[in-house]
Amino acid sequence: MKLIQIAGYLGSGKTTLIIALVKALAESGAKIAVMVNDVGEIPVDGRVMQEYGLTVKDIGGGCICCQVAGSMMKTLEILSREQRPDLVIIEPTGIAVPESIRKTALLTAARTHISIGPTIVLFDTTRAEKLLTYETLQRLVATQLSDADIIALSKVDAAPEETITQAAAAVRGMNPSAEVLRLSVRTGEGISDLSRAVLEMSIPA
Amino acid sequence: MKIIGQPDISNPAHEGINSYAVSCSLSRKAPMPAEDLRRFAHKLMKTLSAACRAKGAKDIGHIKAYIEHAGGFLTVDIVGDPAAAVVVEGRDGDLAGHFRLVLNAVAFGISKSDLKAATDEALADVISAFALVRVVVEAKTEETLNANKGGP
Repeated sequence: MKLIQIAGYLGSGKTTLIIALVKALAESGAKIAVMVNDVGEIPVDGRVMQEYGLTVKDIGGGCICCQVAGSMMKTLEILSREQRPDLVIIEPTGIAVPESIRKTALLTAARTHISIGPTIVLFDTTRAEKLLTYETLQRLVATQLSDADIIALSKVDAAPEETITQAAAAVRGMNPSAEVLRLSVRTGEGISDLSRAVLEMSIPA
Repeated sequence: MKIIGQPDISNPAHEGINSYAVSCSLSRKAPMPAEDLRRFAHKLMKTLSAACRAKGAKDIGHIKAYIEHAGGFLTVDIVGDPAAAVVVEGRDGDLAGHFRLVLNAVAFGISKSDLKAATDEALADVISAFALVRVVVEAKTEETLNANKGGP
């Protein structure tokens, strides 16, 4: 059971990507479970995914990187025991810290035999300047990016090329070891690269 | 009506970010064509994001809603700014005389109480503009991801 995180700031396109990515991954025959954590007490993202045919475990009531980390552990254990998926894709809240989630997931390793796949962090190129410069938002976004194994520059179909180039340079500066790629769910750019990475990439615990 | 409070947490990464959610059922005597339901969803996003800004929000993190009715569903969201594009997607069905709305707002730099007020006021305005009636408030939650001490 390999854990994949699709993280990134609010509105960066996580839910939309997961709907597209699961379709692409399904072609590999992998059994996939999706775990969604919404900021709000009343989940929306999980409902949306269900409408598109995905089977989803919703975790509400707070952020799984801190407030409801225990719920995530329990859900992983249930998935491991009852469904035994090949891949567990986690969509944390847009304000979650990916490394905290990874560490929490590893606490279950003895019971779930979980392995760690790539943490994919989305960066919304249509909001690049604000996300890179604005007060405490910048700190949160930088923290998320620094935890990434893959940084996906999202919505590249809607951002000027010059902005995308500048954003790529900025995120590489924050996390030189991460792979940086372009993503547009609308055009399909980057989906096959991410799909391949999800299937092939394993991160040492 | 159910109100659930969230405990404050101390994760500094969440500083200044608050969220508020409402779920309710809405109806209208004259059922709404699919296009009107989309216009309702669009106007709700614009009105709420503008209301958040008017009350001091520095950034609209993400406002999103899910609308469910007998013939289909809509998802709608806006990110970042009241001038940003609203994305409305889903499966239109027949005329909707009754539908369920789940509305979730997350914003940066606005106090919990102001976000709640902005959401309730914007929702009331748009409901009125479309001659809708709130049948029942099924749940209402209020949460603070980190105490926005002293407000924005």
